[in-house]
Amino acid sequence: MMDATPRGAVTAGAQLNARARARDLAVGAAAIALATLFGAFVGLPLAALLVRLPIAQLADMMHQTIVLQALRLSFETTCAAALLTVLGGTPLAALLTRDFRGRDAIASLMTLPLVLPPVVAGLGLLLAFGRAGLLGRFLDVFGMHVPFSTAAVVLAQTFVAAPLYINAARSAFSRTDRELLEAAASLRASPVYAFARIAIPPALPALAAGLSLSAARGLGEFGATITFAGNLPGVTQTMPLAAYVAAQSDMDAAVAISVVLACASYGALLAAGALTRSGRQPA
Amino acid sequence: MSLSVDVACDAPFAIDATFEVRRGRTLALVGESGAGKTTVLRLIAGFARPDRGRITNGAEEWFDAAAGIFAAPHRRTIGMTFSRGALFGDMTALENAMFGPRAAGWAADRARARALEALELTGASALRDRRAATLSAGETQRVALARAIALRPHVLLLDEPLSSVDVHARAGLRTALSAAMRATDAATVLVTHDPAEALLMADEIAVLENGRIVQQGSSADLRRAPATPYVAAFAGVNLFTGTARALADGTSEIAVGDAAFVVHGAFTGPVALVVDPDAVTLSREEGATSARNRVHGVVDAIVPDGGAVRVAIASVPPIVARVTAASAAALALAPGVPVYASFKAGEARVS
Repeated sequence: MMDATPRGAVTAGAQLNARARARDLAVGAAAIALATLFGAFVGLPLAALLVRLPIAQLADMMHQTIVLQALRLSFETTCAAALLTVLGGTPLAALLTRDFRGRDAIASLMTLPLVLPPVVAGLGLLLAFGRAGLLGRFLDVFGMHVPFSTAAVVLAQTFVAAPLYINAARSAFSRTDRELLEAAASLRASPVYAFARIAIPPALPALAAGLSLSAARGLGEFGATITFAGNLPGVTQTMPLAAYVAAQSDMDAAVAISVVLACASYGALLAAGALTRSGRQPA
Repeated sequence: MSLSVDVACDAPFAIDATFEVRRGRTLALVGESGAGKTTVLRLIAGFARPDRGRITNGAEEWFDAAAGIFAAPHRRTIGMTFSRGALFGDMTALENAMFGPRAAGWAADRARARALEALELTGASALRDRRAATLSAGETQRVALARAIALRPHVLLLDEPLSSVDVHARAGLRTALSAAMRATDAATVLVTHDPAEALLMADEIAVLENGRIVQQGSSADLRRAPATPYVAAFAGVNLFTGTARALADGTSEIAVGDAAFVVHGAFTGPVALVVDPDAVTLSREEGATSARNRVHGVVDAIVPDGGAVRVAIASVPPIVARVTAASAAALALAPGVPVYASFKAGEARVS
């Protein structure tokens, strides 16, 4: 029998292998440890809310006027904001997929509210729609007072959260094959008809996902709302505001509201994720 | 009633084209890729705006640079097919064909009836419930054609309708195209780079080179006095139509009238056969070459063509050979001299 490999080389190779494996294991273990720590960091506050949740009194808690009012108001304003977002954001996103000068500047401007400190957003809204504001002074003439009304809550939520929908729509629309829109135009379809029949149907999952995200963001809106709309129970006090107020006097109520909010947002995120995945699958 | 086109652009590349197509007639817009054929079609459709010129369809004014008139694409009564089909993939063939009538505001049942009629005309009735994304290239073009003619446009713009289609499906599709053109009685502009397509389907040929029309006329005009080498090569090909039968050895026999040619590949049914005159060799004796395809006849005409001569032979079917002046002299070619013309099976292109 002939052994082509010298014995020493085999041993050295094996040692090298063992060392490499040990290093891989160490790196893997470190990555898992860091990931676990970070996961715990994010999960712990959420778990703390759940642990603190006064389950026994939960039913009573939810029937408190302040909680009920906030729950209803949040639901209504979030729905209204979503409607405004779809109505205005869809055509805006569609136009932003066309080529024109200054398009990127406008697109960035439309995304700005997303990264602006919410208080700054609220201040801007106040200076625009407030009594002495740019537009508000004219509205005032007609007896319309936007600030510190439920309408202000809707505007604040729309302003802050719409970019999430607009960006999702823009990215979905930009995948439309231009030749298909041209084919539609050659078949007497007006630009709006062509867009509705050709570009929107394949974009629907992405639009729904973007809307879920923006609704979740709107639901949690606090800074712009309290600045522009105030904190009036039943009128402008949404769930986040109610949680903030309750946290100063009634911890049980604050926790109950927070858990409801967190669950609703988590649901919206799960929905967005599922919609995005379904949109990626070939139809 | 006719489509009258006079367009010029400077960017993204220069275009300068003027032509007119009467209703019921077909103009082939030919040229190499990059010559600007598709761009001219897009200008007629209104997808891009020319810098200068005028486009009218009968009394309808679609574009007039001087008057500042530009009709949006959906206001122009065109039917168009795209080289890659551009069918709406998630819709069925029937829904695709109904799109135009529906977009024009027709009621669903009327649109459906018209769409079915159009699918029938292009031989695509059996595909009506198939999702467009699942169709083959040939089926796609049939449905695209049905979709384009459903509203009976007065102008039909066809962008390379056969280029993506398998040669086996081409003859059938050519028949469908001709039927569609006849039925719509439209002024048709057919963009193609394939001589067989242009020679078989068009009444007139306009040749584009670098965005300009270098020559326009019937195929006979172009053959008689080609303005450029490209025109000579394009219009000067030998084109035979016949019926193919696949043989056992991987070749096919194509019956062209009383003659039969052998080509490589398995083909059945009606086909067109393109043979470049440069691939045709001439001899005075019968067994001079090993080429499998041979016809016999007397020289009909000899025309100088660059450094060579074109020799037209009154054989059955007639054939043109392009040979060097030296070999023409060596063969002592002159009108009335009997010759054998032959070409190899591998030199014939089935289309």
